[in-house]
Amino acid sequence: MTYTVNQLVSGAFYASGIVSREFETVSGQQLTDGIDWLNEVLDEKTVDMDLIPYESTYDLTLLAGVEEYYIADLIEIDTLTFTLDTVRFSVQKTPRDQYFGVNRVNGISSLPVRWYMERELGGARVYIYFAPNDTYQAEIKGIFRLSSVAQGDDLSTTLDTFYTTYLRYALAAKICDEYSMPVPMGVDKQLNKYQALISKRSRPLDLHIRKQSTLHKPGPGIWAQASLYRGYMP
Amino acid sequence: MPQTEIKCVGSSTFGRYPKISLEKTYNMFISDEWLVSYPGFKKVLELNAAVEGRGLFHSIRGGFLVYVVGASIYKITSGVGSIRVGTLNSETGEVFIDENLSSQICIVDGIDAYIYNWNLESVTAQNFTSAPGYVSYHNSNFLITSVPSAALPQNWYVYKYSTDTTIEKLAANVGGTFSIQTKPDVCLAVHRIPGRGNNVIAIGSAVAEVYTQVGGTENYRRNASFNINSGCVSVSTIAYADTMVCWLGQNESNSPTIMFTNGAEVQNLSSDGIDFQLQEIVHPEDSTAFFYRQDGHLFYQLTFFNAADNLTLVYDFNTQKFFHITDSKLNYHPARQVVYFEEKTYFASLAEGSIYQMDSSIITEINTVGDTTGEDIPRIRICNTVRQRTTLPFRVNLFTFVMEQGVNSFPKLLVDAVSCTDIMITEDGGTMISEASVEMLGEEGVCATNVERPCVDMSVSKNGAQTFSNSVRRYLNAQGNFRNVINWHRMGFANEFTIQLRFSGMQRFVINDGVAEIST
Repeated sequence: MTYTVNQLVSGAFYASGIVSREFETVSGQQLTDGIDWLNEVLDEKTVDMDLIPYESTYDLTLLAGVEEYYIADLIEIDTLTFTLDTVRFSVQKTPRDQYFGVNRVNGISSLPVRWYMERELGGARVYIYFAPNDTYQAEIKGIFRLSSVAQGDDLSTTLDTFYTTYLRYALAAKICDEYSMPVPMGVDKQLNKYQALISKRSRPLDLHIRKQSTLHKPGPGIWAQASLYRGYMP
Repeated sequence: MPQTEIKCVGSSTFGRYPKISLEKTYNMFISDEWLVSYPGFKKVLELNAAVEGRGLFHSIRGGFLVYVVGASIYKITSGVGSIRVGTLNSETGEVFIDENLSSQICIVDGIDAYIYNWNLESVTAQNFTSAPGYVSYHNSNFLITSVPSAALPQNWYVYKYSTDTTIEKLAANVGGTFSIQTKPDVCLAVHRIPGRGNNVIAIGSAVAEVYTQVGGTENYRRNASFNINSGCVSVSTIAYADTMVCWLGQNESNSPTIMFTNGAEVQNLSSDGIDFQLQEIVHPEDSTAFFYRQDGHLFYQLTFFNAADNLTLVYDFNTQKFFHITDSKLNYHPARQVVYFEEKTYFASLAEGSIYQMDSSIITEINTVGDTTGEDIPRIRICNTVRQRTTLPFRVNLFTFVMEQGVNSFPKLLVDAVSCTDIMITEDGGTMISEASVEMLGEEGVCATNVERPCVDMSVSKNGAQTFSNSVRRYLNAQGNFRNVINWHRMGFANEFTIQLRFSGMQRFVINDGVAEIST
């Protein structure tokens, strides 16, 4: 069933107690403000990733000799893999200091071994080392920004009902804040409930244990790897 | 959560502008600090729907009513039967009627005076030298004024019985003629002051004087130490009851205001709001008024029936408050003159030649003789405006008030009923018979839900009572379901908040104050 941005904003105004559901209608200015505030609420999720309920897959084409790739709306990468023939190879996440702060040989083109991601305005920049020696089709599993919305957009095609309900309460709280009014007790309660549900259940914490030897510290990749077995370590 | 009182029980306060106050009460009044329905009315006699009812008088001695409709004079007998007894030369305008001790009823229409002798059943036009404007009986005589266009409009005259069908003016040298003296004015009406024995009041257009009947050749003597610096806008607004005479007053320098006197002192029902309201009246001369007692309350009902004004106000002398009164279409109330006859209250209709009965037990406007239900009379209360001293906005989370429910004649089974009217066709006069559960199909039918279900419609204003929202309805309980809570939730954000309640239904309404829960 269609659920438009207008319905969500109106519902938020009603829930906030600023506009009466029975006696009034949300004015044009209120609708415009509400959509702006809704986009702000959506944008807040960029830094509060727990409240983005969906993981996304992004197909990235790695180009020969290109180390940096700007990917719009990307917030967080869970996994990055590429495919060679019919085999999927993982690319390892590398901390910033190890990617940029250790000795390495530049100018080597080989199979990608490590990646590092930096957040940028409107998205993120992904660094790949070694620079690919050929064109590869890579796949990123991660979190992307929620799209901004406009008047009349149908949210039912992009968001589940539980999330639009959460957004309605979140927007209601923001509306109260904008109008310098306290958040109604019921709205606050519902908002907390949905926040807890979404952050803990929609994106559960990954508590799997991965053992790592304290006697071995992998380096950034050496020339021998690239030359002898093209960087691939089975 | 903070609560603020909403004055569901209140009167019409006539704030000069809506921002000051739009508190109004339509067709309800305050009884024991509850708001209750103002009496409804039903037609009990229709004589001529095309002409206006001009006057209604109760003959105490004769035990009947005199009703003037258009140009016709009717005698209304016991059980509201009617007998046409005579004709006037005029057809419109209010007439004034009074009776003496000689079976003579004097009718004055502003052109002529007529004597209806109810023993002889005769109506006789009197041959006055100037057109009479008002008549009142006092101590065996008729006190009659001239119309303002007469040759000596400042005079008022004493008329005594002459023959069975005529009256005659007393000679000037035996106290037959008097004139307004304290101002250069005309005399519009002379009326006895109730409860003041020999005292009468002569009302001009800018002054009123009190006279005492002293007898002898002097007859009446003006009270030299007391007069009222206000005259009358329209003689039709003069009414009397108990110990007072009341009228819509004015003088050469002051705008209209409601005055009343007991002959010893004078008061006016003045406030910024009511005076402003009366100043706004375009045609104050097109008005009528009467006193009326109902359920122990003494009401002064004042109607401005010109289409430009279309307003009826009632002042309750018990609670000292004003209320708005209307008919079922929110126009002026049609009552012109009221009488109490055979334990019932009747009035002449301004709008047509009919007599209506008025009573608290009647809750609607019934315009067909013999009917028991009629048009719903709107009962409306516009409550006080809620504001914070700081003018800061607030949210209204709940509004509720106390009211009586379950006392209507609306049966529970019909709450959601739909009534249908269909045309059923048979051939050759054949009878149509259906057995249990067998449907009969009709053609060209019409179905309607029961619109008589009692309800309360509420609308709100958030701009200082300048405009109101849509109405949100709450249906009332069916008969016998007395326990109730009536409330509205989440009325939004405002820094001033006014509630308007409209009560509809074929039942009485009994309302107490309400409460709004607000959060800041």
